[in-house]
Amino acid sequence: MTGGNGHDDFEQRLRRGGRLLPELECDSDGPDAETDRFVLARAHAALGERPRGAPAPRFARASRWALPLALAATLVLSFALVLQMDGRKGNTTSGADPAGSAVDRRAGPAPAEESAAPTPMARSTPAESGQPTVPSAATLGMTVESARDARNPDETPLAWIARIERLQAAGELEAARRELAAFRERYPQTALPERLRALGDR
Amino acid sequence: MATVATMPDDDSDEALMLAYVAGDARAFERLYARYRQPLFGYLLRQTRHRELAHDLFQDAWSRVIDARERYEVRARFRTYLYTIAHHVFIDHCRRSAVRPVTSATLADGSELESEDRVDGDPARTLRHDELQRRLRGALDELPLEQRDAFLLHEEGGLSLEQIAAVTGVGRETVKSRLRYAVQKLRAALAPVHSEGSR
Repeated sequence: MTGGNGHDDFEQRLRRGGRLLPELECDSDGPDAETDRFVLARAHAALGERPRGAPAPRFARASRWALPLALAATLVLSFALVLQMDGRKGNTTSGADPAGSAVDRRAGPAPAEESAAPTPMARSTPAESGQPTVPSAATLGMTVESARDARNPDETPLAWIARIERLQAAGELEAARRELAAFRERYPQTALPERLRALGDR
Repeated sequence: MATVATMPDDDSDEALMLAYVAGDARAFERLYARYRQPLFGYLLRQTRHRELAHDLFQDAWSRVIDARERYEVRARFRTYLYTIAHHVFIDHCRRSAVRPVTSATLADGSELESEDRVDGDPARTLRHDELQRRLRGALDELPLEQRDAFLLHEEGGLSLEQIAAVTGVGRETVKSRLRYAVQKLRAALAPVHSEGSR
């Protein structure tokens, strides 16, 4: 193939078309069904419609994250529940009334927090109160909101969606809707999981 | 890029893409059906990592979708699509700063599937498997430019001119890369072939 004839042969083979190396087998039948759905859903979404007869599109490769996210959410909620149980038990056994706890907190290092401008609910943290956290809608909301405020600007769409789902799972529907609206504004063409679409439609 | 002088016929890739741009989602589905397998094959060969190939594949199609409003029939759609896929892969290589190919198996440990299995003859099956193993190993050893040209030709079915357009080099350079690639791959297969002819 190095001589003149070799060059001619190669040129002719190229001109004939077809494979240069027939031994090379096709490696794959193509991408998996999930990827097919993702691409087609994205193509349809770009036109503002949903694929005919197709199930609700899932975010790309979401299955990779579903299990770890579910486990993480379970751990967080379990931990919060345990702390809540401990807090109630401590109050009962010590006989300390809630007002006493409040006084203790006021004697803490951050009184300004207590007298700050009105907030939807009390937002003391373990660091401020020196007490175990008693989870409530308020404290959960604070946690989630703090997480949102601390959002990494490089957060991927997938991580963002997962966070919205966590908000939804925690019952923070308003926050979830706000985040969803922000997400849609930033990624208008990204297909959303069905349950998030329902959240946005409400 | 080469100019496509004539108007695309209704079933051409270019016509389907234009129909999609005009709002016909079914046109995109047909276009996607034509290219899903070869494009994925190209990326899978390049990355040798199934999960990564899926990601790059999605990225490439997403770019096609996102850029649809700017699509013009200035070249064959095939060239357009593989140019995007080529850039997606090169971008990935630059980001990771490593060549993601090091072994005859996929990075997740699985083997690439073969299109068809050799009939029940164990000797032929062994030889076939050995051939494919050597081929993959030799592909891995090719310089990126040669492998890219080779895969664009073999997996993508691109012509010399189209590969030149995709990779941004001249036709003769592409031909040279292809020739060297084929030489090296044939050399890697020679022992198996000579053994089989005994």
